[in-house]
Order: sequence, then structure tokens, then C-alpha cells
Amino acid sequence: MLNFALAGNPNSGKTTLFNALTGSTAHVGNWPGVTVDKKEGVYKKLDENVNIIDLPGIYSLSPYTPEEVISRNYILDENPDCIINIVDATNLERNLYLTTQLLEIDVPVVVALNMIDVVEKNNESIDAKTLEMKLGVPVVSISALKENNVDELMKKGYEAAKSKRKAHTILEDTNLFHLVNDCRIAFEAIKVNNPLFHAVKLVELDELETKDHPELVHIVEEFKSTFKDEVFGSDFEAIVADSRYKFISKEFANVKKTTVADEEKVNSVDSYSKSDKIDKVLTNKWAGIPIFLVILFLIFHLTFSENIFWLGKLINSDSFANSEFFAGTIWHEGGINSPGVILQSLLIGATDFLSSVVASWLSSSASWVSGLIVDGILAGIFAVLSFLPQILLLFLFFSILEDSGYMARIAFIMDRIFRRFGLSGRAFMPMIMGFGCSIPAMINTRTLADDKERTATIRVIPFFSCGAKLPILTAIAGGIVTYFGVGNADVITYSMYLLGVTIAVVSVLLMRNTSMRGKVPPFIMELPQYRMPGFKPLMLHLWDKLKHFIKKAFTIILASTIVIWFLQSFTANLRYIEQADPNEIADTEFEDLATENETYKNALLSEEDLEAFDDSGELQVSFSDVMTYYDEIEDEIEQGAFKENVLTPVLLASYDSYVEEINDKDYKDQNDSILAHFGTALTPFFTPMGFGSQLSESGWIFPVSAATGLIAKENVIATFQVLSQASSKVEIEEANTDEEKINAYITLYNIGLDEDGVNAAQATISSTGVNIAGLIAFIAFNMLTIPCFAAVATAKAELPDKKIGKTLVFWLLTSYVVSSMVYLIGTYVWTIAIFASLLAAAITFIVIYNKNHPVYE
Amino acid sequence: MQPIEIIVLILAPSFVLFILSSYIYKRIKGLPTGECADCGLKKASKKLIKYYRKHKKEYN
Repeated sequence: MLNFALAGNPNSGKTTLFNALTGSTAHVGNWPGVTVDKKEGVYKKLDENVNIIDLPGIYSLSPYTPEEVISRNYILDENPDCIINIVDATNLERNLYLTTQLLEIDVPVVVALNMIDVVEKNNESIDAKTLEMKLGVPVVSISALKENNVDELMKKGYEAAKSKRKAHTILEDTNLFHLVNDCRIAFEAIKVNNPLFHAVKLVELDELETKDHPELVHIVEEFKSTFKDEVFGSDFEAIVADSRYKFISKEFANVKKTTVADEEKVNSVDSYSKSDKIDKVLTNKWAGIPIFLVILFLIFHLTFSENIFWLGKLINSDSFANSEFFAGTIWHEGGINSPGVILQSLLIGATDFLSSVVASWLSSSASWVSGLIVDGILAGIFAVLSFLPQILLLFLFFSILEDSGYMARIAFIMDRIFRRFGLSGRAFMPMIMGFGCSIPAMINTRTLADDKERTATIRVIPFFSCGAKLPILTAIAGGIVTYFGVGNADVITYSMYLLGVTIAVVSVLLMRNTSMRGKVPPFIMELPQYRMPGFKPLMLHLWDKLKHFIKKAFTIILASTIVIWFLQSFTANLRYIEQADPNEIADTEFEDLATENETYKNALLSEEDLEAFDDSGELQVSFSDVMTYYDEIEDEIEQGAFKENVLTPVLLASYDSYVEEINDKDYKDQNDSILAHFGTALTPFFTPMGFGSQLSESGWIFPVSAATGLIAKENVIATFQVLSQASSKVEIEEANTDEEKINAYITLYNIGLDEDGVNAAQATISSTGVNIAGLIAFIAFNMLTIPCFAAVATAKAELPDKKIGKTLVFWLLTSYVVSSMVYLIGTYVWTIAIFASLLAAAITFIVIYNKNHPVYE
Repeated sequence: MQPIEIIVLILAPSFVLFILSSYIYKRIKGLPTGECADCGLKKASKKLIKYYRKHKKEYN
């Protein structure tokens, strides 16, 4: 099978072309450094299949960055049958620099003039024939995004691959050509492949070349002693580079032409391209960052808000169709739901229906079976899946920002700020990828040449909350709003994301001023043109994300929920914990009264509409039917009488039975489970963070949920849901009077009926006694602590040797300190003075120390 | 014991053991575990394995 390599500058469209040719779903980004490693695919439309290799984006074949070394080594050692050099037609001169280097290799080359549609849209054209003549290799105009002419390109490549090509260099007309020729002859003598390329590199005193062939360096040194250029002296590398650019300027100045008749319009100072006009606003020195923060907030608002654009006050029940579908799914009393929340509501409706069907199907089976399947597996999996719409929506928005070209601008804007903290804007790109997943973000740090910068970036990437942490943020934020009635879910979520970013910046500042002091590397980046993201690539990204998420949910998370259910359902001596079920107790008491107590039976019979008994006198309703009937009675007096005669006897009897059961010395509940023992042992460590020993007996739920997040962050909420569903719920309120007993039992009964688990989660929050500061500290801890095992493994692979240990300590320490600060300041506001003083002392010490111990490089 | 109980009793632990053992096996053999989205898809991971086996010498 033939091998074709795709080589070109970053952002020239290599990966877009790769996807178009191979039908693959390789990730496409619009800023440099997205493709770090090689990708392979197969093109099947020619007489024989062709293997396509997508090389990293490079500006030249020098040995300064890992991508350049990878591409160079591949081309020279793997001998591809053809190199397809993708050239961005909107930026011809800059892209042709690499082309001139590729022509010096004895490999067939075909130049693909990509983005030709953008050139035509700008009222310009490129004379491909002239370009072909001057370069001496085939040139094909294509649009990789629209898949125009790509088959023609491959045909040309196939024809070129069938014939040998002799390398040539543009240095033929320069003063150095004689030296290049001498070196070429020397390389041919020692039978080195691609002698011309190696000769030019040797003349430049290329690092890799001089290392591989030290015996030939003397040829260059001897020539150097007698040569001097007016401008560059004897810096041959500079002379060669200058020669290339002069050649490109001279030979290709007239290749690009304008097609607009009115040239004055085109040449006018005010005729900026569309991208430039947009950049004047979006990359403005003062407005750039506020605009970015607004866009980011808008994204979160459209994904999480339950009162979109704060239109809540305009809503009343007459404004919209008064149907169950609209109410709750699309709007509620507080306002109109955002698209993310609407999609989530629809999915929750479907999963709730599924859970109730399964629960009714299993109602006659053993309690542990329905417990495992309904309260364990389904509760855990559906808790995680319910966030899928919002994760996908968030991912879609970020992909749009990325593919449109805006993300590259953010890196440019952020460079100005990041530089003060010891990072270049180039480090911002992997961090932004961290919003999707930490693993590819950490891999992407290979684009950072400086080791210290790379280590610092890898360490802070997990602070940019990935998609897996989103359920934690959303669920807890929603819990704070619902249970405590404070704030908006989208504002809390947005604030927590910003907290992660702030902690990342502070951490980098600390590292770069203490253990990792050094110069910030320069940052040069090409800003691509703005363009409308393609619908197909966006949908392909989402599809990939969806498949991966569902696969993870039904493998790792499913296995975890089964294990968690087992550990919290059995005691240490493997006795199944059969918890008191208030609904079951109420149903039993109701049946006993209805069948054995004549007075009660008569009371039921007097309610003709209830139809409690069938024709043969058999009871045909349950206690939940009775409760539903009670809610539907409109007349207050009738309702009061019904409550006294029908509900009260059952509720009082149920209350006594329930209390008797849970006070039985042999009674076990979730706090006696295996998991509770582990969790209780962990709680002291979490006390400074607000979810440790200060909570009630069932407070171990928080540390256990956090611990399961090490397997996969989605597990935190899945665990929380499993534990909430199966807990012995709220400890039944103490009651002395009949009225208090009735109210306490009704509360307990309704929690048991709660299908979507919201009441269960709220009951759990209530029973543990955690406060708002503790919940926010819980979110902060999960956001900042050690990420999932997969991310840790990736960090270990990407970090320099022996740094993973210190990195793990760094993550633990940061999450511990920040969460403790959040809880302490949130609960005891005066502690802010203590922390401020400590911070000021630390900063003073660091500044004085650095002044007395400068670092020289 | 009801049939559903027997089925659940067999399937649940088997599934957990299967997930755990396949994860450990992949880790030992250096195969993609599927945790990362880039290699999580079967098609991509098979290609990766094929490429690794073809270019094993380079990695060693």
C-alpha cells in the first residue's frame, strides 16, 4: 500500500483534509498544536488503497520543536511515496517557506492550495499553473472543508508517486550554492539518502545534522573562514532563510491576483478583511477579556440557567399552554428553562419513566434485587446520564469557538496576562482543552518547549473542570438553590469554573516564583482567518463525545455503582440491610385497618368515589391511591373529614410501627454498612472543609462520594445518588402530639414516593447538616483534587521523571487548602483577615528571597 | 429463590469482575483502556494497536 504524508503549517487545514480523505473523526482545531502526534487513515478511491499520515503542523524542518523533529524524521526515515504539502492559499508567502525545504528532499511532492474558496470570496485568485511551473511540482487548488477537488489532488499524488523525483533547491542562485554542492557530493559519497537536504542542513550547521555527521562539519567550517555576507556575516542559517524568503517574494509576487475591477476599493486603507474588522473588537486591549468573559457566561447561561435571560417575571400561567409538558420541562414559576435544562428535563422524564416501569416489574421480587437494580444501578447510571445533554451542549459551544478561530485569539489576548504569571499564551491552549477532558489537554502540552512551563501547565490543567466534573457542579449547585433557596444554578456553576481558573493562575504564579523560576519563552502564533464552523465536523465531534460518554457510563460507572451498592447494603458480617420502608409500612397498616377494623372499613365505604372495594368486597386500592384521592378533594370540610377518618389512623399507626422498627436493637441501617465504616474513618480529614466530623452520623456520604471520584469523576454524583436513594432517609422528626406525628410521617412518606431522587438528595443534605459553605467547599474539593486515574496516568507519562509524586501532593494540598478556605471564610467571615495576613507574609517572603537569589539563564 | 434473583446474583458480580479484569489486562499489556476519548473508540484503538505492533522497534 502506498503511503502519503500530509505536511504543512499549523492551521493550513491538514486535519480537515485528512478527515475528508479518510472519513475519520480526527479532532480538528483552529489553533496551533492540536495535532501533536501522527494520525493514520486510508483513502480508498484510487486503483489501490493509500495510507494517509497526518503529520504535526510545522513552519520548517529545523530541529527546534518536537513536532518539527517528528515530521522531519518521518519524511526522511519512512520514505513516504508522496508528500502532500498543504499550503494555506490565504497566506501564501509564509506557507511556501516549508515548501522550499520539502523540495530539497528526493520525494514526490504535490502542493495542495487549500482554502481556495476563501481566496475567491476575498475577490482574489491564484495562478496555480504559474506556481506549478516555478516550483516544478504539481499544484492543485482545493477546499478541504467543502471537499472540493480533493479527489483530483489524490490522483495527482498517485501519478507523482509512480515516478521518481529529483530534489532541487532554491539556493542555486546564491553564494552558498557552491558549498551546498560540495556537501551534497560528500553525502552522496557516504551513501546518505536525500543528500541535497542533508547538505543544506549541514550548511546551516543544523544541530541534528552536525550530531549525525561530525566528520563533514569541517567542509562548512573551512568555507566559513573565507566567507562573509554584508548583512549576516557568516551566519549561514540566517543567510539560507533570507534567501528562501527573497526567492518566494520575487518569484511568487504576481501569482496572487485580485479579481475586483475597482482596485482603488481594494487598495484603500479602510478595506480591512472581515477577520481584521472583527479582531479590532475581539482582540482589543481593553475590551478583549471582558468580551471573552461575557461569551463564556453566555455559554453557561444557555446551558444551565432555569430563568433564561431573566424573563421569569414575565411568566404567568396564562402566558404559555397550560399543559404538563410545558410546565416543568420548558418553563416553571421561576422562569423559562435554557436549552440545556430543557433537554435535561426531557431526558430525566424518560429515565424516570423507565425506572418506574422497572420498579413495578420488580415489586414482587426480593427487596435486594429491586434495591440493586432500581436504587443502585438505575439510580447511579441515570444520575450521570441526566447531565449528558448539558455536557454535549457545553462541548458544542466550545467546539464552535474553537473551529471559528476565536480560541486562537483568546490565546493571543491571554499571553499578555499570562506572561506576568510566568506562562506564555501557548500554555493557555492546553488549559482550554482541559474544559473538555484533562487527558488530551495534558498530551497537548508537548507543544511547550520549556520543561518548567510544561510541568506547571500539566499541574494546573485539572483545575479547568472537565466534562466529567460537570455533574458535580450542576447537581450540588442545583441542590444549593433548591434546598437553601439561594442564588441561581448557572451563576454558581460559572463562579466555580472561574474559581478553578483563578486557582490555576495563582498556582502558576506561585510555582514560577518559587520552585520553577525562569524566563518565559517567546510566543509567536499565526492568527487564522475567522470562518463559519462546518456543521459536519461539529456533529462528528459530538457523536464521538456521546459514544464515549455512554460507553463509560455502561462500563466503569455501572461497575462502580454495583460495588458501591453492595458496600452500602451489607454490614461487615455480610448481613443485608433491610431498611424500614415508610411506604411499605403505610401500605401494610392501611391493609390491616381496611380488612380488620370495621369502623375504618365503613369510613372507606362512605367515600363512594374512592371505590376502595370491588364487588366481592376485596380491597382494590393502596395507601398511595388514598393519598392521591385526598389531594383531589376540593371541598375543605370534606377534605378535613377524610383526613380525620381515613388518613389519620393509618399515619399514626405507621409512625408507631416505623419508630418501633428503627429502635429495635437488631435494626441496621446504612450507617452500619461496610461503606459507612470506611467513610466514617475518612471524615476527620474532611472536617476543615465542612463535610467531615461536624456533620451528623450519615455525613460520611460526602467523603465516600469524593473518594469514588478517583475512578471517574462522574462517579461522585452517581455514588451520591445511590447513597441518597437507599438511605434510611431523614431521621424521622421527633413528635409528641398526634399532629406532629402525622406531619412527620407525611414528610417521610413523600420522600419515599419521590421518583426523580430530588427529594432524596435534599433529604440527604438536610440529614447530614451540611451548610452552603460546606457544599461549595465540596464542589471546590472535587474540582481541584487528584483527577481520575486515567488523567493521573497521563500526567505521569507526560511529566519529566519523578515529578508525578510531587504533582500528586500538589493537587491534594491545593484542594485541601482552597476547600478549607472556602468553608472557613463562608462560615466564619472574620477568618478572611487571617488568610489575607498569611498571604501577604508569604508574598513578602517570596519577593525578598527572589531578590536576593536571582536566577541567571 | 426466584429466577430473577439467580440471574442478578450471577450477572452482577460477573460484570464487575469482567470490567476489572479487562482493565487490569489492558494495563499490563499496554493496550488502550478506553478511558480517554481519543482511543476509547474500538476502531481507533485497533488501529493504534496495529501501528504499535508494526513500529515496535522504534518504541523499544
